Amino acid sequence: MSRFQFSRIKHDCAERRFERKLEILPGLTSWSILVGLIVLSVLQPVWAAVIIIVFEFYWLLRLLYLTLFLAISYMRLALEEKTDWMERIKSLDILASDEPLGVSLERPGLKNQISDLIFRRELKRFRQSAEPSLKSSELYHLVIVPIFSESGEVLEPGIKSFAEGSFPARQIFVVFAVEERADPSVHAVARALLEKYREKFFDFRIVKHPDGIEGEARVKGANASFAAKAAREVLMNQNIRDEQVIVSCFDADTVVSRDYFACLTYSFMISPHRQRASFQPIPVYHNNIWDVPWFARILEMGASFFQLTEASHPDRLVTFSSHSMSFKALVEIGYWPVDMVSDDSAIFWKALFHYDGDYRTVPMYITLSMDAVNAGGWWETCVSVYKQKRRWAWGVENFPIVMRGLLQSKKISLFEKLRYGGKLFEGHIAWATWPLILTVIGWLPSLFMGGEFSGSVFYYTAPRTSGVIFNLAAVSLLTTIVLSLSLLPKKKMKHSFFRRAVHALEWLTIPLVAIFFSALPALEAQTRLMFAKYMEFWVSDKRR
Amino acid sequence: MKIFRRVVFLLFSAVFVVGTPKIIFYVLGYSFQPGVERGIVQSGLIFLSTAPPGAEIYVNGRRYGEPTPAIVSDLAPGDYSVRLLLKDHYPWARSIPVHAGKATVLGNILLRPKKAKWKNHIAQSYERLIPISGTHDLILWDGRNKVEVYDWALKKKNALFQSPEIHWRSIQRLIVSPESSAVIAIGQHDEKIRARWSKIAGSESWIPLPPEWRHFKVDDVMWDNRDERYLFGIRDGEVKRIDLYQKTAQHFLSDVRGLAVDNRNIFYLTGSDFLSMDVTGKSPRAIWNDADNFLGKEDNVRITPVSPERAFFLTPEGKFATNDPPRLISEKGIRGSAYDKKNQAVLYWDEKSLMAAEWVSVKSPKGEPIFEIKKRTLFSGARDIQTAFWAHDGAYVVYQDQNKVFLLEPQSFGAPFVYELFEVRRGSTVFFSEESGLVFYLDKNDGYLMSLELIPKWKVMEVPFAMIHEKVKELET
Repeated sequence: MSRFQFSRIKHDCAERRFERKLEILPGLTSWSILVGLIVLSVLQPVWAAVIIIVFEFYWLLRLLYLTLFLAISYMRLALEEKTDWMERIKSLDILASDEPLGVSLERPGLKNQISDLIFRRELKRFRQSAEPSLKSSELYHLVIVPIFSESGEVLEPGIKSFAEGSFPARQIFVVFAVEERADPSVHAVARALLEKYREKFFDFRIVKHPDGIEGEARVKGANASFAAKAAREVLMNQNIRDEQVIVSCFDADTVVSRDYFACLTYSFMISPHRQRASFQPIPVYHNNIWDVPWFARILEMGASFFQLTEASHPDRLVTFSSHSMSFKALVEIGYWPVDMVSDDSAIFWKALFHYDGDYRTVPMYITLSMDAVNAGGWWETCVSVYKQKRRWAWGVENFPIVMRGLLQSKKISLFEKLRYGGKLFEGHIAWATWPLILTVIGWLPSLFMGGEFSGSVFYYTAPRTSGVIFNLAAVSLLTTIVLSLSLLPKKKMKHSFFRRAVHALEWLTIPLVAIFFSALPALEAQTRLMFAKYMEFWVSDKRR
Repeated sequence: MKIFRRVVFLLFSAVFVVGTPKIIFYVLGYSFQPGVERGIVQSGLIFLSTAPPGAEIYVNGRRYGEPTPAIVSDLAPGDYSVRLLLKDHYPWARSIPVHAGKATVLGNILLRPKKAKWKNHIAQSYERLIPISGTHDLILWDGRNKVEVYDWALKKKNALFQSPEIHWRSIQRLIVSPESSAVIAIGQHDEKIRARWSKIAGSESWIPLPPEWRHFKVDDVMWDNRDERYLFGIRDGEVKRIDLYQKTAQHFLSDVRGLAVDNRNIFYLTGSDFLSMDVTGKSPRAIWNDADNFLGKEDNVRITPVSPERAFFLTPEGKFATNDPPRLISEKGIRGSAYDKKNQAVLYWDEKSLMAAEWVSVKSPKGEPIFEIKKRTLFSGARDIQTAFWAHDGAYVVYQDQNKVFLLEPQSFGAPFVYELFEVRRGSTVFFSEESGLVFYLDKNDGYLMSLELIPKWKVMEVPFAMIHEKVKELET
């Protein structure tokens, strides 16, 4: 195991200076691409147009590739919708007792048959691994919910969903990780919920995170880590070992689906390397999706789709937002980073380096729902959404640390290093630049081309080629619209059909939404990192 | 699933690797031509757009799948026989050159219908047709005392100068001004030469003439449609301003060799200078200081302002110039001109030829963009050109030669095509409206107001977004 410290180096040294260069790299690359294309459009518009057309072709292929896997992942999600995870757990329990499986693993219907086929393959893979079997009765879920300013209206649905799921709540230990500096009303709400739901769970505690602990920044990870340590003491006192616990760190507004913990338990039990794994569900933002402005709706659907697509590539899946992991791994790697905003992704990298590359994220085809940003008014929500996306894009702070880790690691293969590092870098650059290139910069060469080009072949073929590319991209847009309409909650509401039809049209605004709420926040985040203007955690406005 | 992912990834990567150079080649106009020595050649294309659209395209006898507007690309440099066929229209066929890396643009091809669309607007006899440019009005005059105005857009006719107090013995002259809804009639009234001002569908009044203009031997009268209070008459170099409100006439300018009124400004040529001022006589401004070097010393220079900074000058001897360098467009013999603001091109003609001059942007030896005038002769061989108009966005010319009207299709790569359209009333002129696509004229026999539709009402959009069509199949033409 590696002793790599997954944290920003605080003191001045050669390694810090190298890290500083890595911090500058993403922003510098993004700005260079954007400014470079603008300058090239002015000085050499023909070459700029050719480069942009090649880029558009590349973008089209990427888009179609992602859309294909989005569709595949969505189908998988739909396949598992009716899966009885508790039944699967029972099957695993039986096998763990070395008893013959008396029940058939086949159900009628095509969807069920495919799902069962996948189960049988997972079972086969597990049996071929050296991982010992576990009984579900021996497993516990530790659910940590960091709280700072959330109301009872936001918190209670989540707690209720933990209590009323298909997995026995008596094996769930809930911890409210409350910031000491939170408003007294927040503390009061936490206590009230504890009183109301305590009896339903294995245990339900409130852990107050003191302010100003040395070495900690005001970030969610510090709060969650403090709570995890406190919870571990409770578990140890109950003789519950780390390897029996699956820890989930949920945002305060998280509402899990009924079968979430059952699915998580199953995934944990059947995973060949369960103690070296995180478990990533599909985040959706359905708690209030119909109550938010259209741009917030589009963005959150886009985030869900992104995770769906990523789920189809488990070998490069990184944790995001609310997710779960082996508690043993969490303890061994030293809990969440206490000085980084992006704790959700940082924990994966921390684990990856700690285990010298022997760590993975297991996708779970089950959803958990959160709130879309809603600050009340339209403009306030604009600002809040922008800030939230900027915080998400602040995940770029991982890049210099990850690169340091990859370069230092002697156990991770070169191929893996290139794959991880390349994907991380390319992902952030694309986030900040692609919408701007496609929507704005792509048109600049035609503005700067002089009249002498109007009689050239290029003048006719270039716009025609771009037009064909964008028309083909509409296939992806159409697929996205159809899937989003299928994924959205079938809530009973007034003018349901009309609202859905309008939602389909909302996707046409994606070029503008992508610029203002995706590219610009990402560019700002990278620029801040470039100039060492590190961000602190900012709690999104969520209201019901 | 892992294998599937890898296969798909490799497939997409292969598409990208193979597709990218092909796209670059295509966009820059390179293609692989079998049978050619080098194999990869820089090709050209032909852009074809017709009015009406939808014509079948045949290139060197082969039919291309989609109709016009279309881009026929991947053509090796050379000459191509292009033929366009549209039902109920005459075929259009030309030999079109294609150059490497260049687009041969034929964006305004007019397909002539086999059944021409004629219309009789007014079944009454007239001798003169006077269009008011910039309006929908046509002044119709029987050559005596009957003057009417016809709005071809509203299809309404009104009489002018018909008040009971008017007893014309004869109207000698009618004067109009661009974009103005007013007409001046000069004629003998109650034994005197008088001038009367009439607003179309509005009021009329007598114009107070200066005593020395008793016989109204004025060279010209002009006014600005934005300020119809003042009229400016020029005679023997003196300009008088007539105030229609106060009914006074006063001296305004002297030694004027040419005068024009436009957009609340007076443009005038005096001595060697070309200047402007507003209609109240304020804010004089010099535009061109050595005009006589190009225009000579002639008086009665006809000035046509086309913008606050650009004007055309036509001397009685036919010298045609502009204040933009290189200034002199034609040395002599020019009878008239028509300016196309959109394409920045001027059409001008002498007795036998039609010519065009365009302003094109070029780079100076220092690399700065400058404008240059490029002149070309569109057609030679007419007998007595009376008037001419740009048509169909400057791609065609309608002109009157003696009392016949023709449609000219200039070619930048070959002899022009000339189509005879009809004959007009002797002594009358025609008017072509780009807005409606109609040519208005007086029938040669009975003087009725007629029109012929030259350009269909709905035009094709000439943008380079037309479908690109590769060879689909060979068909017999």
